[in-house]
Amino acid sequence: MEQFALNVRPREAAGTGAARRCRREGFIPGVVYGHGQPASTVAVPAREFGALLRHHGASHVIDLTIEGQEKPADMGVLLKDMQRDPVTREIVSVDFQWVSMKEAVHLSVPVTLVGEAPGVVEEGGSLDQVLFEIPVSCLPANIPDAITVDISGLRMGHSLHVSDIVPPEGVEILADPEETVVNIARPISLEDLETRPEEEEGVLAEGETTEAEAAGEEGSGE
Amino acid sequence: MLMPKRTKHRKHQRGNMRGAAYRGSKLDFGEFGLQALEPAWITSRQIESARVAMTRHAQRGGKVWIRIFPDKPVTKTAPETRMGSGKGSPEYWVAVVKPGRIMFEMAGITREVAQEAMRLAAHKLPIKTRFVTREDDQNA
Repeated sequence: MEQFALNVRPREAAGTGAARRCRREGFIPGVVYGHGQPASTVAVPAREFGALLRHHGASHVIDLTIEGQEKPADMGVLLKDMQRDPVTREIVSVDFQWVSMKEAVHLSVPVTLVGEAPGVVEEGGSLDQVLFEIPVSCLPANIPDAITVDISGLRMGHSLHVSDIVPPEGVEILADPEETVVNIARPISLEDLETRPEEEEGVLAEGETTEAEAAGEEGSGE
Repeated sequence: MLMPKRTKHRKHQRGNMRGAAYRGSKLDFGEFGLQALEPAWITSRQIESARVAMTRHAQRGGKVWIRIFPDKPVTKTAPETRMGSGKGSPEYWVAVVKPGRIMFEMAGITREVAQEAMRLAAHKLPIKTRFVTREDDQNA
């Protein structure tokens, strides 16, 4: 497993205004903590961090260096949390966690499907992936890019569970073995396509109220 | 059309739609989604119309999730009514949507089909929208 280097600078000023100034200068306000180390606020270069994320994903150990501070021995950081602006998608804040390269860590890695399911190609079923990320435990050096799941044997109505996944060497899957990863569902029937179950149920007409509510309103008016 | 089965109050105040949607701004169920870029009241008719457009285009394949629910009643005073005499009667239901909100999600279809289905659905809505995928969500 590769390690990627990232140089960050310490950030003295905290708070909204300082964080905004930091973003204007092309940095992302962040914090590094964990493994007995004191929490330190940092400014992460936005371009470099964005490129790292795009090319290598979020589940990697990063060789983090804080300018002017000594790096703890045998330690790297994992991306613990990241906040994005819901509209612009820009990263507004990052959290890193110190991890020892000699101790197992718990994290979630993406699930990737490989192969073509005969239930989809031949029988016209609909591939329904339920689990997109899976929690695993492993040494930082063994963190996989993704857990691959082969769906080439799946027929209509069949499903794959966590227990069917063979994890890479040195990786332990922490998810419930009974949990469904992917299933091949029957396609929607033509009737379902046009009607919804809600329409069939006896729902209130627009503006209509229940008896309880009508009584409540009368009571409140007095 | 979607509407609440029972409500605590028959008429609501209008409220405001300041800020962005932090909740419901990530893909949670499917692989593809339609994200709002403007604030609006989306009526139950618009939601239903968008759903039908999406499912028709995807034919029998795929699965659709509707992530917004019209739980706010909108009242209207009858035409040619003189001023006063209280708030009008509930006419229709809306979902309050803020920028960033994922309104619909789809899965089990190819990206091209999903994109076209979402484009057709977006034409039924009164706001600017964006097509989002799980890949973009992780790597953008």
